[in-house]
Amino acid sequence: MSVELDVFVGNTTIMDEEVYQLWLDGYTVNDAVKVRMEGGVMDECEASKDVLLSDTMDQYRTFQMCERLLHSPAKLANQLLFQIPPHRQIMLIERYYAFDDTFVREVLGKKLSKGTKKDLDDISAKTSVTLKSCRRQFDNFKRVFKVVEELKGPLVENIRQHFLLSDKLARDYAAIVFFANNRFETGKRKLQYLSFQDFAFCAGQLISNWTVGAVDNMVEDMDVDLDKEFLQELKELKILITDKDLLDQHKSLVCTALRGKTKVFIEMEGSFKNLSRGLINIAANISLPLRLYPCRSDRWSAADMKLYLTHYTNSAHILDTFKHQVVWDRYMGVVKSCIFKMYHD
Amino acid sequence: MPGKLKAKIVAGRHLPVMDRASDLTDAFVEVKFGNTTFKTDVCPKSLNPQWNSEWFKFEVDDEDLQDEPLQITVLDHDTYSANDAIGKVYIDIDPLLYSEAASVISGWFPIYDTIHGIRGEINVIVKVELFNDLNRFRQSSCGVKFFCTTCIPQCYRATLVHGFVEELVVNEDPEYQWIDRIRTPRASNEARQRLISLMSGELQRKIGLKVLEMGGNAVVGYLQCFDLEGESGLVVRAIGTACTLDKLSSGSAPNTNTHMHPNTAPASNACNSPSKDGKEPVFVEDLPSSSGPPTPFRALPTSSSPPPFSPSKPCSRQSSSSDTDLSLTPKTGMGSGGSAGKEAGPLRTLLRQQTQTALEQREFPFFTLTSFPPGFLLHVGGVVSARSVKLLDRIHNPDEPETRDAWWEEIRQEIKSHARALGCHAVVGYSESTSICEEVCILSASGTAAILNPRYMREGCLDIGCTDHRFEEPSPPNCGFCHIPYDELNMPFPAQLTYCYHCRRQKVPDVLFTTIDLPSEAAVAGKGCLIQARLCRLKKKAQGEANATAISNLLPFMEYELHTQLMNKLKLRSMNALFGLHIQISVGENMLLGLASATGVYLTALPAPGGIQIAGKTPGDLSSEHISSIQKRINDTIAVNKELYQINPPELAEEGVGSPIPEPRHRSRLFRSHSESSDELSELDLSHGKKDAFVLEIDDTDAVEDIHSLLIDAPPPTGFYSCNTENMPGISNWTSGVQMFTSVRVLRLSNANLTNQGLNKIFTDLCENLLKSFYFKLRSMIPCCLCHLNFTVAVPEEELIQVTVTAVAMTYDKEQTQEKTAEKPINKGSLEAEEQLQFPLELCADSSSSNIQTASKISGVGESTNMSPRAASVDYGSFADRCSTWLELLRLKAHTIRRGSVKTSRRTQSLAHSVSSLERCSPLQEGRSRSLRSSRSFGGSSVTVVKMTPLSFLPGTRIIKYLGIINMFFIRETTSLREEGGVSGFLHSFIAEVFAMVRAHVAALGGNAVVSYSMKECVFMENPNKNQAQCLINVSGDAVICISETDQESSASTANTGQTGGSETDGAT
Repeated sequence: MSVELDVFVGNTTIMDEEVYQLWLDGYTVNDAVKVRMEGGVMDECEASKDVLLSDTMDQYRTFQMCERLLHSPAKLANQLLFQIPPHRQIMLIERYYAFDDTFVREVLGKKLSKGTKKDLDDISAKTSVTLKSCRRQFDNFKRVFKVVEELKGPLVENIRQHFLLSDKLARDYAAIVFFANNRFETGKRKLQYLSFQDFAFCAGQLISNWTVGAVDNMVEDMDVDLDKEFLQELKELKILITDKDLLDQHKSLVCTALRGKTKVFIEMEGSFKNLSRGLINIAANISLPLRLYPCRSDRWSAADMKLYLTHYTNSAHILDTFKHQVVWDRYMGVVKSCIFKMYHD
Repeated sequence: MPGKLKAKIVAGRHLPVMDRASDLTDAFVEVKFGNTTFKTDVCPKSLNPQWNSEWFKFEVDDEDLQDEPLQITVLDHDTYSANDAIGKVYIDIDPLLYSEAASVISGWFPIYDTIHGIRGEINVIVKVELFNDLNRFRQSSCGVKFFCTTCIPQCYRATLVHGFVEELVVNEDPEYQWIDRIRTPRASNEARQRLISLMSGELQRKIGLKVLEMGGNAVVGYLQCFDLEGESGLVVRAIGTACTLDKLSSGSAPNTNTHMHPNTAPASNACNSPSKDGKEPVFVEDLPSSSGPPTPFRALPTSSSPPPFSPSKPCSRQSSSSDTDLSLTPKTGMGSGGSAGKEAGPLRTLLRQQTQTALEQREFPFFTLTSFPPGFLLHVGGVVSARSVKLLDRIHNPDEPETRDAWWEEIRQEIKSHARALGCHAVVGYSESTSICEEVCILSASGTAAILNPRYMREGCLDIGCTDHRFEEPSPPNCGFCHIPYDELNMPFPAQLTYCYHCRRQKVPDVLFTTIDLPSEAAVAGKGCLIQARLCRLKKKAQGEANATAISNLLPFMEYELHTQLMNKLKLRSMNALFGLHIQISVGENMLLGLASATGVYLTALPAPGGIQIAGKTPGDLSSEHISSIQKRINDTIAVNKELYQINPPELAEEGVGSPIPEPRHRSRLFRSHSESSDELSELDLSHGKKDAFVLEIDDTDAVEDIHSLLIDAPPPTGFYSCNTENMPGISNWTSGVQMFTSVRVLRLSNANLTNQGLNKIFTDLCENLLKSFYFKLRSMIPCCLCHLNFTVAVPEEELIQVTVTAVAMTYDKEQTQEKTAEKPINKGSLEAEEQLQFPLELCADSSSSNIQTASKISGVGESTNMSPRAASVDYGSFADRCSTWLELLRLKAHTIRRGSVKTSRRTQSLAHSVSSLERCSPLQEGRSRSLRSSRSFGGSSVTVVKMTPLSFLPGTRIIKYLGIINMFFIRETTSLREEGGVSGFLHSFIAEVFAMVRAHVAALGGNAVVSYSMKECVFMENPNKNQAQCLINVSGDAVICISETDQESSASTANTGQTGGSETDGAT
């Protein structure tokens, strides 16, 4: 005796958020049932394991049928097959496009190609995110990337409108797209301590200040591609380290301002040249902006860093012979906030 | 050329990719009606084409308009090869054919393909211009409204109920035609879908014609079914109740909008009662006028002149049935001249004869309705049912479906005679069904024998209501229907009668089984609950005649056992009545399945059920210890159930119970038989011989098993209630949460040598597990009630059992239940008031003496009516009756007058239901109920949301417009079963697709809900080895526009009791 067929269909599609999460997390039906049993759901309504199994199967089927629609979330709202209340639709989409920070950290800045997809089982093993879930997340990245690639207008807004995501999630996706597009490497060992959110913040800064879109908001890829003219101009900042006079002048200005305000002054003074060189070199060779790392030192506190950078930036304005004030601000504004973000444990 | 149909194809969206190379589609559309086809331009390379076509115009007969669907086919243009079909949309344009319903069909329809399912959507606009909408219809019956709802639809008023209409059409099934061997599955499926669509259109038209002939304008309780007889053909049959409905204008709607309209019965009672001092005998002054309008009475004796009654269908059976009638009516009328014959007065006889004759004129005095306006139903006799086993043979001439007609006629006659044996002249809550396996077919019909109020049978009755209702028995509305309609001394079956626990005047049975919904005015204690009896019987495989005989031999035993189970389960829950009883017997190759579902309830008018006693027949077999342990379990279960369903009936007052209440005995209200084995079976005594029904004897291990299985039924978890009727007894304060669902489960029996016991267990578990699954899935809706739980069983293949369930879960407000309880004392108080009234004896004597002439006069009328020599005699029993009815009137009157001012001292917990029923007639409580309704809004405002419910109402809303009937038939087939997720995946998406298509059609009609939704057919066949499966689904319902009760409240601030009166009210509070 066996159950040959077992379905339950509601006029309003019934979805349990807990089961949805288990499905998204790539649990098999049996594993999901186990998890649910442990979660104590059996105590409600005197359910038995069979009931739970049947319910889980039903829901998994529903989600599978919905998945096609979730690939283009706008369809979910005007499809006729499932009657899903609007707030549920939002939940479905938001959760479907949500990702694990540990997973995204692994693929951030990598090309969203088949090659990377083949490596997903390694990533799955490393992050202990199930392969199924890895695939879904990876495909989401790729799908979003593909769609916004061809769209004009602001990146975040495009993602939000096209995939009906929340502002927060849309920004995260913008960062992912931005990194994937510019292939900024984030896998370096020195950067390992940085979370996805740190990177996402930096990407946000870059998008709003350094991309083409920061000047012109009607071009294609405006938020994905960096402003080339600006990058050219950045090269001219080199004068701050190549011109010995400027360098000295800058240093003394900064040191004067800093003296007595920090415990690590000596160190700051000593490493000024290196630091300055580091910062300016990034500007000259922007494809690796995340070499901002040199600023990091175990002994500087965040406040020290902040103090230092503020004065470092402001002092440059006082330099008479330094003519690139606008570029400098555009550059240092972003660098400063990125460094602040990264300067944590 | 009486009609012009216009269609415009606007756009498509989400089309499938038909050209792999470009990932796009070149779509165009064919629009077909009858034999005319139009095409749109090709919209190249788009998955979201915009056609914006011209208006395609079809000039057609209205007959075709009724029969044919508009067929829209979406295709992919292919320059070099044949165009590929993407899918189809069938649009039933019937809703456009009557003026009150929809005026345009416009919206997005899913494009459906029988192989691929839904493939995108298409936006279509359809309009109809009828050239002459006068009643010059010959073959067409445009303008007759159809309702699936089995009560008088909200926003209508029934001025007349004409009665039963039925029709069937037959055809060959395309699936079994020779051509099927050479055409594709798709073509075959489409031919079938189209044929069935045509046939149901034709059927509806023919029924409409009958209704027009009767003088009606609507069919309520329309029930259409398919019999897929395989080789022998396809039968589409329908039954319904013809009515004349008046649309209530929106202004007056709140007054009169529902089927439980208060102005029908209570108001007339008030009108009926004597002047306020209560001393003037009412009959003296009333009598002349009653014999005054002579037509109805004079017309009665001769069946040749039926004018006063609208149904003019001449019927050949008239003579024979009135023969039987004569032998029955006098029995009830005169036979009980003795002491107990309170119900046998001449007035009553007259009344009955009047109604009876009215009904006699119909071939079948049947009503498919299950709930009625108050006062419509006078008495309920019990369930009548009939079954017949037939061997199918090929339908030779589709135009002459005589065989099938004759079969049903036979069954209906049987039902009719059963009803008569119960002293009833009508059958309500009537339904018919079939179960087919290969060439064997079981036809079943069942209903509830009842006596109806004649007022509703006569033309213009409601307008001149005041002259009629004096014949009405002023029995209290909340118990009157329980009073026995049959003669006590001539009972059709052994029964234990007691005086009604409410009015103490009339006799009531100890248990009552019915197929109808609980009358809104009925007084109940506690909550109701779903009660099911389940049974499996193995049978030998056989062919033809032998098989049919084997089945018909099994049937009585199955019915007996189902009945016993029901009775025991009812006792176990400490209840005494069943409503909505539906017994389904399904036939398979090697077994029969029986499933009886009903809603148990405790009617306070009926005696309290006793317990169940266990006795060992042969004491040596089982230790008394064992028996006592079982006994204890049973007693515990009863106690638990009493608690669970809050059954605390009002305690008996010591006085007034005329006869001692003996230990009630089990007895049956179930009448059935089947034609093959004829008479002897119909007389089968279901009362368990002379044994006391409460004693369950354990004589073997089987009996032990049976008792164990009784106790298996788990009560629903906390927060859940369940019923299979329209209204949940004891709950009326619905909130807006509504979740309709369909669930299908198929079990494969792998064990080759199963016993009946083993099968029973499997089947019971299957049903119980389904219920458990529902409770679990719907747990977020707690507190909630599963209403209208409709189980259908089938044996699709030798070792498969299929159970299909459709129901609706509705949330209710727990706190308001308590509020209601707090309200109860008021009600109780009024009861007390009634009892406190002391009528001086002389009043009684007075009236009786002054009534002598009255009575004789009345019986004189009776005499002329039924030509019976016995009718002339006046007996004293009738005086007693006269007095009591009159007294009753006085009391009723006093009851209404004093209601407001009585104090509440009687200690009893009463019943939410009696409260609500009083609420309905009492303006005093109106404010209260209105405040209870408070502000509850209905769902989202989005147009696309379409709610569905198998009930006739949606809680918290009021139906303002019926847009037409939805009746759809779909076939889905797959040759890639595994790829579609196996059988479950396949059926899951198909059911979801069916829902989607229903919703889309309703939305296109401008509606936002489907009420009285039902899935009539769900036939599933699979062949996993070939990776194939096929499924047929037929659904129906009423498309409506409903608005939130809070919205209307402002517009109808003058709203009054009428609004609180409907089933909708139950949803409202």
